[in-house]
Amino acid sequence: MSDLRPTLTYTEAELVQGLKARDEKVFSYIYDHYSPALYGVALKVLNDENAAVDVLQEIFLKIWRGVERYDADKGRLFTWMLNIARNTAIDALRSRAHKLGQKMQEIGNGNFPLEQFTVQQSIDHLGLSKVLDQLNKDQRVIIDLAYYRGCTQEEIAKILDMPLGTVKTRMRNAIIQLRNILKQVE
Amino acid sequence: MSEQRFITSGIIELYVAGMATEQEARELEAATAQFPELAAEVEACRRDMEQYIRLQAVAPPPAIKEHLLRMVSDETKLIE
Repeated sequence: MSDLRPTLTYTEAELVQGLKARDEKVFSYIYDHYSPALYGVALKVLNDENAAVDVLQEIFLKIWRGVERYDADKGRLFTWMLNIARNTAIDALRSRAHKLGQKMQEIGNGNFPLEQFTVQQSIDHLGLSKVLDQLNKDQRVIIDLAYYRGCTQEEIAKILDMPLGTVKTRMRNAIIQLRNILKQVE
Repeated sequence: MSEQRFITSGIIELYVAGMATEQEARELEAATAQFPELAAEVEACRRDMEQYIRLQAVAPPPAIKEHLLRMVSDETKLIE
């Protein structure tokens, strides 16, 4: 999180090394610095605090136990942790949806509860609201369905009732718009 | 697909949002290994997506940390 926290006292390589050496101080440091971002992902995916807390613990155990699988050549540590967070949370969501037989039903009757993408009180509330104000609702929904729900292009086309080509174009435009807004917010 | 076509095709945006098909992802990953400029483009887009995610950070309930540290510590002792 170097661009947000210039006072970072460990380099990424030191953090990885510390995790591999089972250094609990490093684990604690990583938790302090990254848990809000990862918890934010779990909350957005699951929209349920209890479930998100369980998933957050699972995420950190996977980081602690799985650091040997982290490959610095393939990306930054934060990217790796975010992927773990997203995948763990989406798996938890799917297993819950599967149990309830919910997902297909929601998609099938075209009644996907898009309103459930509520905005949690984020740490950087001002920054977030500046972004969300400038991103229109359709753009937000399409990004969030892809990132936080793990929906495929086909699923999104079905949910939003639009052709596949339109989904791709809208997604691209939404991300381009997001990037333009972020440049102004920074 | 040429490097420039990847950039204009929209695959990079789909990819960082987690929405690329497996085949699209494979093609892009193979191409980034070959073209450093394309890799830089993907990374720039990924950083922006991560910034959006980070803006949605929420502090977890404080009790979780202690619980996790205890689990991790117990696990380390077991291994040693």
